[in-house]
This record gives sequence, structure tokens and C-alpha cells, in this order.
Amino acid sequence: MIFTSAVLEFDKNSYEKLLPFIESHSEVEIYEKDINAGKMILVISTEDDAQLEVIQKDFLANELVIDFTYHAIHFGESVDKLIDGEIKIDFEDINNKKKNKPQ
Amino acid sequence: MSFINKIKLFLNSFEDNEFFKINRMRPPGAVEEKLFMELCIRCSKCIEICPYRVIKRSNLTKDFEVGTPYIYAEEKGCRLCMKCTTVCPTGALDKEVTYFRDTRIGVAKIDDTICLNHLLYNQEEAGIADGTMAVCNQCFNSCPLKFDAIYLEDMILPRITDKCTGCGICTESCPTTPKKAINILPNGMADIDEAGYKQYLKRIEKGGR
Amino acid sequence: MEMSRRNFIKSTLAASAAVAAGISTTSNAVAQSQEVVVERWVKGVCRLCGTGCSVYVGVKGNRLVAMKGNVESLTNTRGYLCVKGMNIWKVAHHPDRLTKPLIRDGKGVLRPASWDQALTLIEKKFKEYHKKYGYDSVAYYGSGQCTTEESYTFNKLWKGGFGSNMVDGNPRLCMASAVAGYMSSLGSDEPAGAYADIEKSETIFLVGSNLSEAHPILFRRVARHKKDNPNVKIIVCEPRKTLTSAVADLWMPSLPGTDLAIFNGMAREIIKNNWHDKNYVKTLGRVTIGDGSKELSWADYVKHLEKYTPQYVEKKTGCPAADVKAAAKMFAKSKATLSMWCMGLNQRANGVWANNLIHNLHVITGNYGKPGADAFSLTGQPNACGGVRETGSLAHLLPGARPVANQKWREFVQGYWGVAKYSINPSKAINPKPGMHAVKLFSSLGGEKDKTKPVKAVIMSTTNPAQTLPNVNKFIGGMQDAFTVVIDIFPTRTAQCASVVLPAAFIYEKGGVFGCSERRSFLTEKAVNAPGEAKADIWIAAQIAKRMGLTKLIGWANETNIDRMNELAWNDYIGCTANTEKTLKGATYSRLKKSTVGVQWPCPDEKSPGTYKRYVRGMDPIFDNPKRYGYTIPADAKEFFYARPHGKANIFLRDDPDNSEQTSPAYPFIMTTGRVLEQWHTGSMTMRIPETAAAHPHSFVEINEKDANRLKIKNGDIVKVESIRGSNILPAKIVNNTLEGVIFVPMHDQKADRMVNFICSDIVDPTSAEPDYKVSAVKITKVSGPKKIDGRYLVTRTEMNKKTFS
Repeated sequence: MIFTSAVLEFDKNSYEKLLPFIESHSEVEIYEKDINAGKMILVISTEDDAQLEVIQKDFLANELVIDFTYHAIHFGESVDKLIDGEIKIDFEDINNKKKNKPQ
Repeated sequence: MSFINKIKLFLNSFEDNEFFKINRMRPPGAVEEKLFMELCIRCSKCIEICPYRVIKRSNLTKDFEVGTPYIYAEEKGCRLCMKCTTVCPTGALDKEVTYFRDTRIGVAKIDDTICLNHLLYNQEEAGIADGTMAVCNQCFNSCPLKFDAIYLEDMILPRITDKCTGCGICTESCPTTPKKAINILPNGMADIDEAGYKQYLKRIEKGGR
Repeated sequence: MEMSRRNFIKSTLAASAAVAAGISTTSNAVAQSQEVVVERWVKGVCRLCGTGCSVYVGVKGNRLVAMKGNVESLTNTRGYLCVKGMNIWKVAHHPDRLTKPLIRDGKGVLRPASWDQALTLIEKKFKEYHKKYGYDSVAYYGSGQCTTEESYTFNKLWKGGFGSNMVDGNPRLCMASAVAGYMSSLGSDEPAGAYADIEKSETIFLVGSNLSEAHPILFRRVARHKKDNPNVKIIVCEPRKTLTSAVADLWMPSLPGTDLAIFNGMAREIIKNNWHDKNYVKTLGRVTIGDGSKELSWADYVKHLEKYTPQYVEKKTGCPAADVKAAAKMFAKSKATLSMWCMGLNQRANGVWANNLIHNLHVITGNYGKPGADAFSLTGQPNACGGVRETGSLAHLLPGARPVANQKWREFVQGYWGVAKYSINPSKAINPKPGMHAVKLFSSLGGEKDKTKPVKAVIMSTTNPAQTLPNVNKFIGGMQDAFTVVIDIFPTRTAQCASVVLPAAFIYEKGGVFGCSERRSFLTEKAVNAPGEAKADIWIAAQIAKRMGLTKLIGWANETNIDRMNELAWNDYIGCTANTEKTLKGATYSRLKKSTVGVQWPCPDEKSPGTYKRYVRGMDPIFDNPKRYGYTIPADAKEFFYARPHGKANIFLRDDPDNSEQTSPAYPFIMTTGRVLEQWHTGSMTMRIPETAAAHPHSFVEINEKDANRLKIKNGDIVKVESIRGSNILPAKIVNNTLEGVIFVPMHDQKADRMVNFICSDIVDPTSAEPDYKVSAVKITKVSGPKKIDGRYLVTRTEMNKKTFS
């Protein structure tokens, strides 16, 4: 299980419209929100990074989302598996995908 | 590369590192950012000489900024004593900049949706009164170049002039929470138009406020 | 992973992201009142300046959680507050609140004690000293920040119960000259007009006041009035170019202490050009000199003014000759001129004369009585007017602000209070001789063994003379040696000197009436309970009354409910002054509870709406039945200064002596002192509010850039500012908008080497005994380059056990 916290920036006027979209992702939980500032803290629980990427893509594609950025990732029990090489996380991929996003 | 190093590299390239560029400035006399990054040898002399402990050592690692000096205006602004420019050995801080009024660390920018005085003035003009409005002149009162760099239009609306040095004392003083109503757009940063305002501009792009 | 560990990890991740993203986990409302859940709003007054902004404090459970302005207010119209007032409620729940009585032991350490122990000790000492050293050996020193009910109670206890006039208060240090000015010029204390005159004026003369920082809400009214009416002219006469002068059409600079020449100069100019109101002078003016007993002629006055040519004024004060003429014209030729002043005129070696000269200008131009015209003295504290001046809680006064030396009035109050029956003083009377004013009181305060100090004990409340007296070093030892009882909410320098410290209730924890600058009394209702064992002053006064055998005199002493105590004290007070021109008989407690605007005296009965403008028939109810108040008013008089014989205001011949401390080659700079918006008085409250203290966390010395360059002082350099009395070590703030040769230091810092009163001159006005805080001769020397200063210095519980101030 990988836990990731992310900051979601959205248009504050569209909070109501955005809520169902967020709730449709069972892996995503809202931990904090500051509607007036258009920010939310999400914690995403996924099995691996590929799943994480799918969620990120999905959010960024939503018109009402201004930005979706990771803050921290906790690898939980998977740390041992990572070190042993059982699971591979390719940081280059994630990095490249980030760089290709419009700036 | 070992796994641990992979993690380090990944973490250090998070875009979050430039998430809050507002109110993060170079010390007075700093040259243009690209040149600064070439000249700064992270000797920490400016950090050590600052009598107010306002210059801090960066621990951000995007673009290899780690170890370079920054002033974080929300915590403490620069008191314009101009000692740091006298000790920089490489010219990353220009030692010709000695007079406090001449330095340009950045420029202050007021968020009129949060500034207490702006909010009060809006209510006053609109003829509404809900009892939540407060007269605040803290940015104006704390400015070391009061009347020159900042003045109060109609005795209430803070306005910044081109004499603003960007020292950030106004930001430090501003009482609004959690966001400050007055912020410093730092000078000399790469992407000068976006410096510190990346998110703001994204919002504008998407048709928001 | 168990569920809880998982949640822990997720919460930690979320929390750190929240911090980085700038989201607080509690409300982020800029105006706290919007987002915070408030169960009820309780009506009251702001705890701070003399503007008297009315507010609602938001309560949840037993906690204050918010504040908002009262939009129906006539003082802070539209319910605006300043950022200081908007945050002052936060002080109530600060962890430094004193919650238990403290008694200093033999080793100088303040130890927690019970109320019974503390009160027993106080009773013992008071009785002992009364017997050994006389009834005048025990004093009360009050404050313009206590409620009217409290001040009235202590005043009655002392003057009626102990037969001692050793009652004074901190308004002696701020308003005494204004009081004497009103008494000598107009016959009765306090302004004739009100804030409503601001919006009706055509010329506003702001003098000796940094309105923008000392009374920011009134400044807002003035600035708005000018914006909406471009024909309005504003003159500011001040030694510093502050935000206040930014609103001016004409800034008249003047070296501190010299402006008497300006006022005489303006009068000369007005008369020379025939701009004065001859009819007004004839019917409502009277020329006089000295103590006002001898009448002189108009010709005498004109001759007296000859000396004050514009050239003379320019030479003496630094104010350009042309400005004197321009100011005179703006003042005299407007339809209605309103002057407003504060400490710049009052805290002066000749403060009373400065006040008289402003009144002169108004008399000769007929600027009283009509809408928009008045000589309006701004009060610094929230209740100096209502609580101290009007209740007569000064050494020479009785309730109604009438002198104790006035036999007829003294006998009336004696009878009303039942002094002959209830006093424990064998004289069974109110002492006809005034007690000691503040500076004299603290000069005479000392230990039992010191025969030169006749005052052996003092109980003081809501004030901090160990930081605020001028030349303060002179008085600290006396306070430490005497039996000193201090009532306060936080540790202060004065509590550091005390033998007994009593924890006080904050205004919103006890309720009570405050009367502001414009004669308006407003009731604050109790909103929450006081923390720990903190108590209202009135309860403390009641316990002392009981223990000293004065429960008949203080009829409310046996009440247990503070609200009831307050009401009974209030009823006693308004009964006592019902037949004075300051009557508040119509301001019953039930009316004050209902009212959202308060009541302006004179208000003789419940039907009376209160008085906007005094001395004018149809607006001032004294005209309806003058005999009741001991006055005679001709039936055809439309305007009449009834407190003066023949109803004429005095035009005083006053010189411009150099009675302030003079500069010399050794002490070449003039130091003037004052406020900053974000801090209040000695900072015991405002230094504990980080949001507002951030703008001014410590004192500094403001130096003109030219002077700084000569002395080779740069911004931030550490500088020693020294007078013959003492010195401070301060960071320099280089400015280019103030007069050369003049430096400014604010008054709010508690740190010993930044307490400006160590430096301040203790010259006092010969009539009012108010100190000259505005002019001290000093020298400046550079100590070092810039250094970090730890701001928001606070005297702590631990420091209170030390003898020396750090």
C-alpha cells in the first residue's frame, strides 16, 4: 500500500461540482479543505505507482482542477519489497511525465 | 543509482519546491538569478553577518539552490542594514549597493481581496456595514520607507510605489491569516513574470479569478 | 498494517501537506466573526482608546471567540474597529493571566495566597497605617480604564469613608490639562460638542494629535468627510509628518513645546484682518488673565498679541510665517471650524495654557454652538471621562467633577453619602483640602521607616505607573518600599514592585459603564466568567469596605452578584450628580442595557434623548431648568456658557514661556514621545497579540536622515538616547519626514533599557500637575551597528520576583 498526500487546487466556486468527481475515486480521501482558498488536501491509497499515475492523469484532465501536485509519498510495507527489487518504481517516468505537462 | 538515491532525486524534483515562491527573496544587492546561481559559492558569509538572522540557508534542491541565501518575508523581512552586500566575496551580492533606498530585493503586491483596508473601503463605498471591518495600517506603519515606498490613498488604501525595496517587513507585519494580504514578488528570479505567482496565473488561465 | 497505524500515516501526510499548502486546520477567516461559531453576541465597548467604539463580543460556552463592531454605533459609525480593537478580546484567554492573589514574602518572592489571606493583610495594613500615620497615609490610584462603577466606589470609600482625598488616577498624566483648560475657559469640564460635528465641519484643525494612530476610527471619519466634501479644509499642527498630516491641506510644523506662539499668532492674524466675530466676542466672550478673576479689555488682548507676528512665530517654532496666515484664514473664514487635540497639547509644561489658547481661537471666531464647530479635546483612555473626571476621582474633585474646595458642593455630597453617620474618620466629613496629584503622590510614597515619605500604602488598579511616570527611576524604590497593592490582569512593571498582587477581571468578564470623549456613556455587559480566582475591582472595593466597617456607606458591598453591585453603584452615582450639568439621571441601567448608542450627558430624565451640543437652548436641557443646577440663564439667551458667571467664555492672555526642558550643547536634541497604532500604553495587552504586535514589536528612535548622516548613524544602528535623568538603548529608524533636531520614541516597550520614561522630563504644568512627556532634552550616541532585537518583551511571573528591571 502506497499512501500519497497531494494538494488539489480548484476554482472555489466549483467546489460543489467537483465533490462527486472526487468521491467517485474510492482511493481518494479528502483530509483538509479550504474552500475559500480553493485548496484541498487529498490522501490517495494505491497498490502501486501506476495506479497513482492514473488518478493523477484523471484529476488533471478535469476542467475544474487547476492543479494537482504530490506532496509526500509513504511506501508503507512496500518499502521492503522496493529495496529487495520486488516492486519497481521508475522515477524517470514520473519525472518525464511531469515535465511534459504544460507549464 | 541505488534505490535510496532514486528516492532522493525524485523527492527533490517535486514541483512543490517552487510552490510558494512568493515572499522568498534573495538578500539585498543580489544580481539577476541566473548569474546569482553561478556566482554564489554558498559560503554563508551573508547569512552569518546578518545581525537580524533574517537571511536563511535554503534547503530546497530544485535547480541546485540548496545552500543559497534566502529571506522569507512571512517570517521576517530584511531590515535594510546593508551589511550583507559588503561581505559577499564573489559579487553575487553587488557591493556597490550600499544605500538602503537604492536596493531592489523585489516589489510588494497587495491582495485587495484580503487586505483589511481594501475590504473596509469597499463596504464604505457600497454603503454596507456588517461590523466585521477593521482599519489596519500595519504594512504602511512598519515600512522603513513609509510615505516613499508605500502610501495610503484616501488615507486608507495601501499603494506601492516604484521606491519599494521589497524588504518584506510589510509582509512580516501583515496581520491577516492564513494568507498575507501583502506579499513580495522577488526580483531576479528566473521566470520573472511568474516568479511566485505560478498558481495565480494557472488560475487566471483556467478562467478563474 | 492495523487500521490505526494506517490512519496515523495518512493523517501525518495530510498534515504536512496542509502546512505546505497554507491551509490551517481551523478557520481561515480574515474577519474572525464570519467563520467561527458564535453562540451569542454581547454588547459592549472596546477596551482601548477614548474614541469609545462600541462592539459585540462573540461568546461560545465560557470563551470569547470573536468580536465585531456595532453597526448602529454613533461613535464608530458603520461599526468599524481598528485592528487593535478587533483583536483585543484575545487577551482574555491568554495563559499569562493572573489568576490567584499573590503576596510577596520576606525573600521578595510573590507567593500564591487566598483572597482571604490577601484581604486580611490589606485590612491589617490599612488599619495600622490609618492609626499610626493618619488617614492620608493610605492612597488609591485609579485609572481611565476602570469602569465608572468601580472608580465611583473607590472614590466614595476614600473620600466619604476614610475622610481622605488621597485619590488620584492616571488621567492626571493625560487629561488633567484639558480638564483645567475647560474649567478655566468654559467653566465646566468636557467638550461642548460631539463627534457628530466632524461631518458638519468645514475646517478641521488637528493639533497636538496623531489622530491616524491614536484614534484611527475618528481619523477614518475625518478622512471620509473630506473625501465626500472637497471644500473641507484640514490643518494639522504637529512636529512629525505622520499619516495624520497626510490628510492635511496645510501641515504646520512646530518644534515640540513652542506651539503657544502659533496659536497666539493665529489669533493676531485673525484680528488684524477683521476675521473675528465681533458680536460673539461681545456677547459671549470675556478677556482675562492669570486665574481668570480679573477682567481685562479687548484692547488689552490685542496689545498682548502684538508680539506674535508671523515672523516671530516662524523664528520660535519653525512654522513658516505664510502658514500661520493661511491657517488663520482657514480657521476664521470657514462656516464651522472644529479643533481636535490630544496629548500634544495636554502633556506639556504649559498644557493648560495651550488648551486655553485653542479655546481663545474658538471664542473670537464664534466657533462654538453651531453644528460642526467646537473645541474638542480627545480623550486617550476609554473611561477617563466617564470614570475619573465625571465621578471626580481625582485628588481635588468630587462626583460631578466639582472641586472638593467648593464648600456648598462638598456639603451636598457629604449629606448625600451620609458621611457624618458612616465615616470611620473621626472628622466625620469630607476633607476640604485636596489630596496629592499623581507625581506628588508617588514622590511621597515610601517605606514606614522613611520619614520623608508620608504615604505608606497605595492600592492601584489597571494602570502601570512603574513604567508610565516621567523620570520613572525616581519612583520605583518608593513603590517597592511601601505597602503597594496592584490590581491587574497581567504581570507588569508595577506588579513587579508590589507587596500584594490581586488578579483582576477583564472588562468583558465583569461588565460596567465606560464614558468616552464625547460625553457618551455606554454599558458593557458581562460576557464570560473571569479565569481562576480573578475578581472585578468593584468586588475588591466591597471587601475592603466590609473589612473597614463601611458597609453602610457602600450599600452594595454585601451583594454577591457583580451586575447587581454595578447597578447599585451606578444608581448611587447618578443620584449624586443628578443636579449637576453632567447629570446622567436619565441613563438608568435598564436604559443602558437596551441602548445600542449609549447616552450623552446632560441627560436629566429617561425621556431626555441626551445632549449632542451643550450651551445651546433647545439642545441642552440645562436651559429648561437652570435653577435646578444652580445656574442662572437669561430667558432670551440662545447660547450661554452657564457654568461661567454671566455666561461668557474666557479669552485668556497667555504668554509662550520656555518652560519645557531646553536643549543645550550637551543635550542638543528634543525627544518627543507618543503612540503607534498597533500598541496600547505599556504593551501588557497588545504585546501579547502577535498579529498586531508584528508591526511594532519593540521601541525604536525615529531620527531625521540629515541628523543621522551628521552623526554617522545608519538604519538599524543601536543608539543610546540619554537625558540627565536616564537613558535607553534603541535601534535607529531613519526617516525623512520629520523635523531636524527632533527625535521620537514610542512609549510601549517594557524592556528596561527601552522604557522611554527613564528619559522623560518630569516638569509638570503648574496648574494641572500633568507631566511634560512631549519635550525632553537628550543626546544621541551610536553604540554599535545593527543588532537583532528580541521583540515583544514581556515581564513574566518569574521576573516579578526580581528587584531590578531587566
